[in-house]
Amino acid sequence: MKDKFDLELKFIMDEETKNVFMPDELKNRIMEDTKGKILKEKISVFLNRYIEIPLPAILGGLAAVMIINLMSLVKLNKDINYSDGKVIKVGYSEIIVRNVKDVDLHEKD
Amino acid sequence: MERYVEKELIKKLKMGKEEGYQIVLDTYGDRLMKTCYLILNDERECEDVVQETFLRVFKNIHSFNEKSSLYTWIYRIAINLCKDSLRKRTFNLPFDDGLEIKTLESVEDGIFDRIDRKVLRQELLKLSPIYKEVLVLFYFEGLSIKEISEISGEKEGTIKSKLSRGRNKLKESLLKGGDFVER
Repeated sequence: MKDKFDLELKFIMDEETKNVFMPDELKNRIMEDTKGKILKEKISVFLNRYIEIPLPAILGGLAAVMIINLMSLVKLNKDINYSDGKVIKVGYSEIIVRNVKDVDLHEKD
Repeated sequence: MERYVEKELIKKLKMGKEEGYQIVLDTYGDRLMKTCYLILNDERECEDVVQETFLRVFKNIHSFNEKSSLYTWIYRIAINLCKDSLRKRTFNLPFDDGLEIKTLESVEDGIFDRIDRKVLRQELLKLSPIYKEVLVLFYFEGLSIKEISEISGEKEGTIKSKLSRGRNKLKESLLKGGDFVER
């Protein structure tokens, strides 16, 4: 139950603030600040997001990368056509005898 | 604001919808300005506090757990910022003088016939922020002791005590310098 004193206090407070309002300019400033901050936050969240990759997928990927790299190391010389000529085995070496003859540049003339 | 309307509003805020921000500013902006003005008595400072309050509300809306109402949460942030702002002022705030409690319950029961509004206004403006904050929330905002307790993070008993002391301090001041007529 509020007495006269309480009602007086309320009246004074109402009187004191009757011309106090939030300016539109302030509202606009808050909106602009918020939009900017939210965009920055969204970018930050996107860049710092956690992603989960299953272990089998990681292992499979790594295996694929390793195979591709190893294949490039053991790549065979495709210029040699083994089916073209004879293969003579001498000990542990092989000599390929082809019918096609390469001509050096200085021998062309 | 109805509970379900508030829930919808919170959802919009959490989704970052501009419409939600606008509703919050339109709904609470003026009230918050008035409350902060009564506590701070400085329009410029009041604008800064209100701006910072809304920016914090929008930025931290994801951490709002909805245990209290949005209104209470906004006011909690605002009141804390008001306190910070008052602390920054050059003069020292009077501390809670709990030892010199004088119970004026006897003078409370309508010994005054007429209250000098001008003096009461002056005394209210001069009153320590510790009490003014509670008086403003109770009389101006019409909040309950429980709500004020939630906003300020203090026990209900403390709020009751502050409210009583604040009123008594004003009455004491009025008795000393006011134009009171005792029956």
